[in-house]
Amino acid sequence: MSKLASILDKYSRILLLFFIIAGMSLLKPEAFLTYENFSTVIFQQAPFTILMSFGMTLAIITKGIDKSMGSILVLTSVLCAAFIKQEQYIIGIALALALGILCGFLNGILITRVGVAPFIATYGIEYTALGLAFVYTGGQYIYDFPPVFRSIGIGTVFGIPNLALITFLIFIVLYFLTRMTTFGRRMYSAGFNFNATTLSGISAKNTVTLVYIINGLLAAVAGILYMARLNAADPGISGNFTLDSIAATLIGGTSFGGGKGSVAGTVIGSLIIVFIRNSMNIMGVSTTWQQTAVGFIIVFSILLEAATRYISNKAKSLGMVSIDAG
Amino acid sequence: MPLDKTFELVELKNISKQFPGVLALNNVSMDFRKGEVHVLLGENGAGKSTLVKIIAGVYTKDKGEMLLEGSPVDFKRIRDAQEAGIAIIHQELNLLPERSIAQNIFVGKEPEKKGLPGIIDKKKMISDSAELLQRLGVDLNPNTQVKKLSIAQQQMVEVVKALSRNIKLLIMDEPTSSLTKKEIDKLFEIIRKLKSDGIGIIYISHRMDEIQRIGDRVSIMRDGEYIDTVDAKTMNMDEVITKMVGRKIEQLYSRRYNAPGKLVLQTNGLCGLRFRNVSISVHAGEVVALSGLIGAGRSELAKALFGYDPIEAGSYTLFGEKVTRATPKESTRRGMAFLPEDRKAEGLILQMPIKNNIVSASLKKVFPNFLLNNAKETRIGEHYRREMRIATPNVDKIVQELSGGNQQKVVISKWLASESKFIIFDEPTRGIDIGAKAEIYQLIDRLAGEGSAILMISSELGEVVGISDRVYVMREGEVVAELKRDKLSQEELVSWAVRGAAKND
Amino acid sequence: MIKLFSPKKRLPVPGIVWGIIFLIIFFSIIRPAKFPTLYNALLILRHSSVLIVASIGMTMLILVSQIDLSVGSVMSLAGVITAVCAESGMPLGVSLALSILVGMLIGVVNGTMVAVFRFDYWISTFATMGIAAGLALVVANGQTITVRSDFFNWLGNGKVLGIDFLILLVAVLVAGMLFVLGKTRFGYNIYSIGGSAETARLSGIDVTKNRMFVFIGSGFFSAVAGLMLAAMGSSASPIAGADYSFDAIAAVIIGGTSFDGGKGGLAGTVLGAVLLRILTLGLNLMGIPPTWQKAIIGVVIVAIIVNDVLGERRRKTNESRRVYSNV
Repeated sequence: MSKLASILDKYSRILLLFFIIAGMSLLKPEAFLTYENFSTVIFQQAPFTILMSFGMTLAIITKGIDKSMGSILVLTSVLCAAFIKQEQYIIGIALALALGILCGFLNGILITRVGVAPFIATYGIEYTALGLAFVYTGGQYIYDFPPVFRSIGIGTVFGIPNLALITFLIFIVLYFLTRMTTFGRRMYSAGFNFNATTLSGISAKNTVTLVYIINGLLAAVAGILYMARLNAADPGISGNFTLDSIAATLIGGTSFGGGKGSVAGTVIGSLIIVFIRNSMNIMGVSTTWQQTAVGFIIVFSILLEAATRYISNKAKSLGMVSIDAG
Repeated sequence: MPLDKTFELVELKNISKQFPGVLALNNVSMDFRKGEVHVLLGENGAGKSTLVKIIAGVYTKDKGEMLLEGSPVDFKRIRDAQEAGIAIIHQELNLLPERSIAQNIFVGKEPEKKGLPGIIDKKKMISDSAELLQRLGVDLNPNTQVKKLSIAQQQMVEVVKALSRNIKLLIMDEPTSSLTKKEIDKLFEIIRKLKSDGIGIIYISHRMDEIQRIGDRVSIMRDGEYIDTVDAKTMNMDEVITKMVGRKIEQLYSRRYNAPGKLVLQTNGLCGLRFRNVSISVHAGEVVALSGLIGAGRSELAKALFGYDPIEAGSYTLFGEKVTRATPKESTRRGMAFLPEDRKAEGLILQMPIKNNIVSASLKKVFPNFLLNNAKETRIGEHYRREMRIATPNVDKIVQELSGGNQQKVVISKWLASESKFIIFDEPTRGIDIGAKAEIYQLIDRLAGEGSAILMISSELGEVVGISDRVYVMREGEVVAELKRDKLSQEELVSWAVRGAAKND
Repeated sequence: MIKLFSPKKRLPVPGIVWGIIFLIIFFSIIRPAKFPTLYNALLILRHSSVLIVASIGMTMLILVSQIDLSVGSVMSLAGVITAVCAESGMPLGVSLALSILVGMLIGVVNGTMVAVFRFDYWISTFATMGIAAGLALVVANGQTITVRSDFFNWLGNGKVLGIDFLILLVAVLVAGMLFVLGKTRFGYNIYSIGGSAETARLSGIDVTKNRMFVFIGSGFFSAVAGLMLAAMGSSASPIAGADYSFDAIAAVIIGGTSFDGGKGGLAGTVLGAVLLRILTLGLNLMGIPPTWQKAIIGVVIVAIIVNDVLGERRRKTNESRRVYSNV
C-alpha cells in the first residue's frame, strides 16, 4: 500500500472522530463539552454499540454479515428475565449465554453447511428469535430486577462504571483472539479466501461457525448488561442495532470485501456513531433524521474504502510500491 | 518474404502488456494475413493468450499499435473488436448452460425483428442457428439446453457461435483440446472453407501434427516476446522446439529415477463427481502422472482424494490407513498435500504476506499452543525463501506481488512446511515462465528422491513424458491405460486420451 | 418444476402451484365460511398486487445475481412524498411522477455503488435502505398522512368494468415485463448476465450498464408499489413498506428464481407473491396473533430458501456428473 493510502487508512477515522468532538465543542460547549454528557456517551451508550459492532466486525471480516444480534439480545434477555427476578442469577445467566451460543451455532450451520447467504440466514434467525421473544412476552416489558443484579449495570469499580470495564475486558479478549492466536489467523484467512483456506487443510467452515457462535455469545452478554442497565427486558428494542453496527464496523475500517479490519478500528467506529447520534440530539435534529445519517455514514465509508484502494492501486501502477508489513 | 499489402489483415507493432508481477507481452510485432492459418506456438505463459485477447479487445494494450487492414484501431471494449469483424474462441468454454443452443450462438447479438428495434426475432434466431449448425455438419437441435450437451458438443457450439457473424479474423485458442478425431476433421474442413473465403485465422495449438496439417505460417513466442516466424510446411520441428523453449529440451526436465519404495496410495474403485471406478497406486519415491484431456475427471479425482469433493463410492488407503470419507483437514493431518491448478484462487491467500502463506497448512505444528509467534513465522518463511529461492527481498511481502513461478514456490513451501509425504500437483507449471519451470521439475525430482510420493496432473505432454515414472491416462472419468516410463511418448498419450480403448496394444 | 403447459412450449412453472392449491384447500377446510369466498379471493389478489409489483424489480435483480434491500423503504418514501406533495397543493400527477423519479434516483445510487463500483450489494443497498427509511420518516415527520384526493382513492380502490383497477394495473405491468424479459434484447441480456457475467462480457454485452438499468427498474417498481399501497388506504405511512424487501425476496425465491442467477422468471414470482399473501390472510382468518404470524412466515420463508439452496446444490452435482452422457 502506498504511504498516502496507508495514512488515509489508519488515521482518517481518528481524525473524523476528532473533528466531530472538536466541532461540537465549539458549537455547543455548554451541552456537549460537559462531564455528564461525555460520561453518558462513553460509559452508557457506547458499550452496547461497541459490543454489537464487535460481532458485526467479526462477521464482516469473514465476508459475512450478522443481522441477528439485536434479536438474539432481545430473546436471551426476555427468556432469562424470569430466573433473574427469582434471584437465580447463575441459571439465568447460563441460560442466556447458552441460548446465545445456540442461535450463533444455527447461524453458522445455515451459512457454512447449508450454504445460505449470511444475510438471509441471519435474517431468518432474527425473524425467528424476535418472533419467539414476542410470543413469550406477549409484547410486554419485563421489569424491576433485584438490586444485586442491577449493580452489574450501574455499579462501578474504582470509579469506573462496570459497563465500560466489561466492554474493555471483552475488547482485550477479542483483540487477543483475533490478532495473536491461530484462530484469528484462520478467521482472516477464511475471510480473504474461503476455498484456499479449506484447501490448506483448515476447516474454514468450523472457523466461520465459531465466529457466529462468538457473536451469539456477545449478543447474550449485551442482553444481560442491557437488562441490568435499564432494569427492564424489552422485546421491542432490537431495531437500530444492525444499521448502527454495520456503520460502526465499516467506518472503523473493516472492509466489506472480507479479510481486513480489526476490533480496535471498530471501537473508534462505534465512538464515531454514538457521538454523531449524541451531537444530533444536542443540535435538536429529530430522531427521524438519524437513520438517514447513519445510512449516509455507511455509504461514506464504502466510498472512503474505494478511494483508499484507488489511490493505492494508482501508486502501484506508477511503481511507487512500498511494502506493507501487514 | 515480401508482403503484399492487399493481403494484410492485422499488423501489430511493439505491443506490450503488463500484469501485476509479470510482463506478459514485451514489444511484440507480428502480422496476420487474409486467408491464412497463422499458428501461434509457445509454452504456457509465453503470452499467446494475452496477445490474442488484446487483438480481440478482451484486454487493452499498454503500449504499441494495431492496424486492421492498414488503418489503426484501438479496441476499448470487446464489442469494438466484434464490430470490426474479429471473433475469438476461448480456451475455456464460455456458454450459458441454462440457455438453448440458439440463444448461446447469438448471445449479445440476437437478431431483431424488422422495424422493431430491441425486440428479438426468435424464429429467425432459431432458423439461423439451425442453418449454421447444418452448414458445419453439427447434428444438434438449436432448442436444446446447452447443459444437456457433452463437452465436445459444447465446444462445437462455441465454434458455431464465433462464426455466427460476418468475420474477417477468427482466433482459436486450443480449439481441439477436447474434440474427437472425427470432430477435428470436421473443424479443419470448416477452417479450409473459411480460408478460401479470405478470412484470416489465428490458431493456437500444441499439437505438432495439426500445425502441419492446417497451418500456413507459424510464429513462435517465448516469455512474452516474439521469437520468429517460419513456414508451416517446411519447418524443422527440432529447431522450432528449441526456439520455443529457448534451450535443448533435455535440459528442461531433470529426473533421476529410483526404485519405487513402499506403497503410499492405493485407491479401490473410487467414484466421484466426474470419475468412476478409479483404481490407481502411487509408491514412495515415484512420480505418477494423470494424463488426459481437460474435463476427463483428473482434477475432480485429485480433489476427492484430498477431501474437497465428495467420494461417492469406493475407498483408498493412504500410508496404510483406510479412508472412505475425507476432509482437507484430515487429509493434511495424514500427510497429504494438494497444489491446485488455480493457485491464485485456491492455493494462496493472495492478500497475505509470504510467511503467513507458508505456515498456513501447518498452523497447529508451528504454533502448538494457539499463540502466533512472529519471530518463528519469519524464521520458517526465511528458511523456505532461501531453500526454494523465492525471488523476494523479504517474506513480509504480499503474495499478490510475486510472479507466477514464485507464487508456485510459496505453495510448495507451504506443503513442505507441513511435512507432507504424498503430494498432488495439479498442473504444477501452468502460467510459469520457462526458467522457473525447470526449477519446479528439479524440485519434484528432489522430493521424489527424498522419498515423497507424487501424483501429478498435467496437460503438458512434454512434462508428463519428461518426469513421470508411470502414467495413468483418464478419459471420460475412467482410467483407460497405465503406461510405464519405457512405453511413454506424446503420441501414445494422445491416442489413449482421445480414443481410449479403441486402440489397444 | 412441473410443466403446466405443453412440453413443446417449454414454459416451466415451479411446483409452487401445488403449494398454492394445498394452502387453498387447507384454509378452506379450516375456515369454510370465510376463506373460499369471492370477497376473500379478491382481497388476496389486491394484497398480492402490491407485493407482485414490488417483486418485479427483485426478480430481475436476482436473475442477475443481485439483491436490493431498499425496496421496502423506497415504497414508504414514494408513498409519503406523494402524500405530502399532494396535500401541499401540488397536482396529483406531478406528485406521483416525483415519487417515481425519487425511486429511480435511489436505483441510480444503488446501481452506481453495486454495478459500477462493484461494492457488496448487501451492504450498499442496506445503507440506501437506511437512508430511504430515514427520509420517509423525515418527509412525513413520523406521521401517517391522509390523502384527500378522490382520484388517488380511485387508483387504489376503483373498478374498471367490475374489476379492481389495481389488479388491472398489475396485469398490465406483469404482461409488459414478461414481454420485456422474454422477447427483448434487454431481457435476453439479463438472462445472459445471470447465467455467466463473464460469458456475457466476452460476448460484448455491457454488464455494468444492464445491471444499472435493473437497479433503476427496481427503484421504479418499488416506487409504483409504494404508491399502490398508499392509494389502497388513501394514506401514506413512513413505515408502510418495512417488510416488503424480504417478502419480495421470498416471493422471487419461492417462485423458482434462483440466487445462482439466470434461471427462473416473473411468472413464478407472481405465483410466489400470491402464495405468500394466501398464507398471511389465511393465518389471519385462523385468528393467529400477528406476533405468531411473523414467526411462522419467517420460518416458512427461511425453510423455502434453505430448500432452494440445497436443491440447487443437488442439481449442480447431478449436472456435473451427466457431462459424458451423450458423447
